[in-house]
Amino acid sequence: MTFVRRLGVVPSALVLLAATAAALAPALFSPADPLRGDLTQRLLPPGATHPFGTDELGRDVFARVVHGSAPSLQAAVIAVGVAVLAGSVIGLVAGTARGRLDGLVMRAVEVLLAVPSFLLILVVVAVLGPGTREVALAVGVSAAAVFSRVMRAEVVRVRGSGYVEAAAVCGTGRATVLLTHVLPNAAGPVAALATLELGNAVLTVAAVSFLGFGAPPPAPEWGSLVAAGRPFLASAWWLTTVPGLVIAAVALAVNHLGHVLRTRSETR
Amino acid sequence: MTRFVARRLTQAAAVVLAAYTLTFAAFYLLPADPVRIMIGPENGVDEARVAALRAEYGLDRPAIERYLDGLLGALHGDFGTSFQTGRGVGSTIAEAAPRTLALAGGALLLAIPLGFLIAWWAAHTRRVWLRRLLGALPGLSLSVPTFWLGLVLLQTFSFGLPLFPARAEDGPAGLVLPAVTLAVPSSAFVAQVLLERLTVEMRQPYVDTARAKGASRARAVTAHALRNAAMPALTMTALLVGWLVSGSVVVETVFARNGLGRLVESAVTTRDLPMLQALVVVTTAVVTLLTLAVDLAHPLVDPRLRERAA
Repeated sequence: MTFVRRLGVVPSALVLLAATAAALAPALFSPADPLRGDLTQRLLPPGATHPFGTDELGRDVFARVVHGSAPSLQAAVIAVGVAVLAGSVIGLVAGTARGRLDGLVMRAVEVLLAVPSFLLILVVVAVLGPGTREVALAVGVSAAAVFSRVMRAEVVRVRGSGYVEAAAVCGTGRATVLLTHVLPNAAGPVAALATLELGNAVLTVAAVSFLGFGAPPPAPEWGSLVAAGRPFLASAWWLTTVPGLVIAAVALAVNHLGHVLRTRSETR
Repeated sequence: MTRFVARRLTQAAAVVLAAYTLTFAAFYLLPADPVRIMIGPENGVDEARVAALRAEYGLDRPAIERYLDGLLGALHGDFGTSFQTGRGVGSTIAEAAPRTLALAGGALLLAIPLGFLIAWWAAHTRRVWLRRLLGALPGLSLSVPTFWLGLVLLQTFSFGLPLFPARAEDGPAGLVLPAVTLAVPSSAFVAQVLLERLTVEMRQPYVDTARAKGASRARAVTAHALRNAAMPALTMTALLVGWLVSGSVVVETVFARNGLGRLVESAVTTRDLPMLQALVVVTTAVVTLLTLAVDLAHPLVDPRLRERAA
């Protein structure tokens, strides 16, 4: 079992490493300009000079995929960051406040969970307007509710333990107890959920961008790259297939590594 | 029991009301003026026309008045007028709903048996590689972007092999590819939850007892473990329906089907707030009621809960 898992870890790590490197230094991977095309080189299938082919304006698809890595991954990471931060704060407040405030906050969280998450994201996008940052924020907001629940549950669990009571008896301030005792103990489950959410966020950001609510047209984003290839489904398969495969590979890599990390921390 | 049902119904109503309030508040916070969005980015807009439009849609009235009026209308099934088409939101939704219901129903019909089959087979087989393969399948299909899966199916089975129409008109042939697209991640959800429970249940002593008394492995899974493991999968169904509505946004866009998902997409694009609000409230109401129905059905499936309730 462990052998099989390790077998998957190496390719997953490589995919993730390549995607991150492409996001940080796209010029390293593809010297071609992702925005400027050569109209004599339109709709060329994948080949030696253009590994992923070219699109209807003669732009190199590989360059566009590589340059699309930064906005796509950034959006996913920002989304998870927003979700972890907002969710943790809400959960911490609810868990430590107890009583009426706790009840009120958790009811509000329940409402957010009752609205299908993709609709909630689209509502936020409708309010904020399209754009990469807006999409990231929307995905983060919709995922925050789950994090607040996990955080609250952990706070309530840790709060009842002996060492927290002991610290309180010793006269440690509430804020100090929260930061030094409660937070580190609650971090594990939240981190586990965050890895799970990152894979989701990659896919959701791509889906919202596919619908056309991401960065405006010339900018390459993984989801909008797939959308841009739709008119050429019958004639130029690579325009949709290749960027889609990249999204799937990254999502799979993140999910697999997250799964391995989670099972390892559970068995320890 | 009646008190329990009454309390749960009140809770469900509160959630739907909160969803209405939430969307209203979100749109009230909208940085852009809805009337300007409606007119579009023209230059030199006639101020009198803006004021007239604002008055026509009642946007010049105080927010609290609009909120209460809108709520009263929504309770009577009147969700106002679409900013974009000028038609009633309620009738537009009612017109689109059957197409999405057909899509979601088709997807569920495929997804639930498929999900059960995968989980059952993985629990039943003794071949380790097969179990691992089946166990990895849900995670694999959940990592594939739904919109891309739809496009690949379209490419392969409409353009490559002309088996299904590329334009998904009404009718069973056009429903196949969209329903399959939506069913793949849905079946993965079902299989994941069910397999997790089945793995736990298969280690329980009652399964050993059944096997010791001569039940075949297939019977031990089907008649003994599955019955206990099915509950969480049942709870999943309500969530799955909410997910199907979300998924239909993408799938209906890919296959150019005019359903609820398409309405959501165009309402976001044109910032048609009354339409979007109605869609969110209606979907939330459906999901909440389904969750309630599943919760109330639990004692029917599990006799232990029946005793506790009595």
